[in-house]
Amino acid sequence: MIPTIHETPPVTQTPPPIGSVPSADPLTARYLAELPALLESDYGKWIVYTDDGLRKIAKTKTELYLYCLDVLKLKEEHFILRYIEPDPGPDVESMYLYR
Amino acid sequence: MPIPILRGLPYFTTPTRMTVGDDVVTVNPFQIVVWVAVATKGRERSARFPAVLDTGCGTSFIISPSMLSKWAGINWRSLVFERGIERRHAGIIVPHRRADIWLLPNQYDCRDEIDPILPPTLLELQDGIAVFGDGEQVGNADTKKLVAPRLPLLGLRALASANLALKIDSQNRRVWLDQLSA
Repeated sequence: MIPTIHETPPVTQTPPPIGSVPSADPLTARYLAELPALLESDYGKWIVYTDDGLRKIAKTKTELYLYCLDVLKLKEEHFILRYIEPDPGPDVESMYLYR
Repeated sequence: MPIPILRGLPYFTTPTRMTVGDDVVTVNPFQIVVWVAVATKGRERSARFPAVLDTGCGTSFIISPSMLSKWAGINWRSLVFERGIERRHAGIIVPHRRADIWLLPNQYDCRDEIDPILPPTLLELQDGIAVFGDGEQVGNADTKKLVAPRLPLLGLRALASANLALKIDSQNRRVWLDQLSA
């Protein structure tokens, strides 16, 4: 018996535009708000946001990480590090298939 | 000039076994296994252990608390919660922990031996690693229900910032991975 091929149902939800996804975390929300401009100016670099308002861009995460830990003497929970790339938006499916 | 990381890494059409510390694990057919280590605080490197390179995995890295503890020597509670990362598995928000992954180069044409000369490559992860399974509550109460993969998973997302080129030769069942620029 030949299996029936079903067409993929049309996507009814329009993906949210870049930077429009709200986040409960204020630093992430700031990053997402700034992301459209960052993609223009610093695509492929890393950015750090700290709880006390600092924002710094560098080529690698490690450079920013060590700057926060060693120079600013921050605890890890007081900053976020993000790679500047388009935001995929919220997950709608499971992150992996069980193997 | 591309920097080689995986060189002719084989994968197999039948189940195989690997030794990790005191454990012997089974690798399923067609699973591509690489050796990794966990990087914490931007510089520290754990013991090495295997992970399945899974291009279908939607996050950078997944590991169970017990494997993280036994193989990498890291208690998941020691890793900072990665704020603002809201991924779901089975409808449950999975907390991510701040860490990066070292990818170790294989000896040419070998899966289970590490090249002693080539340096490891740091995969800087923006979302950190997902640690769940073993019935542990790693976030809200529902996270106790999460089932971890049988072996750690290294997702395609982990390769994003390292400028890597992955080639899978299905005829000879070999994998090649190069870093295109530092």
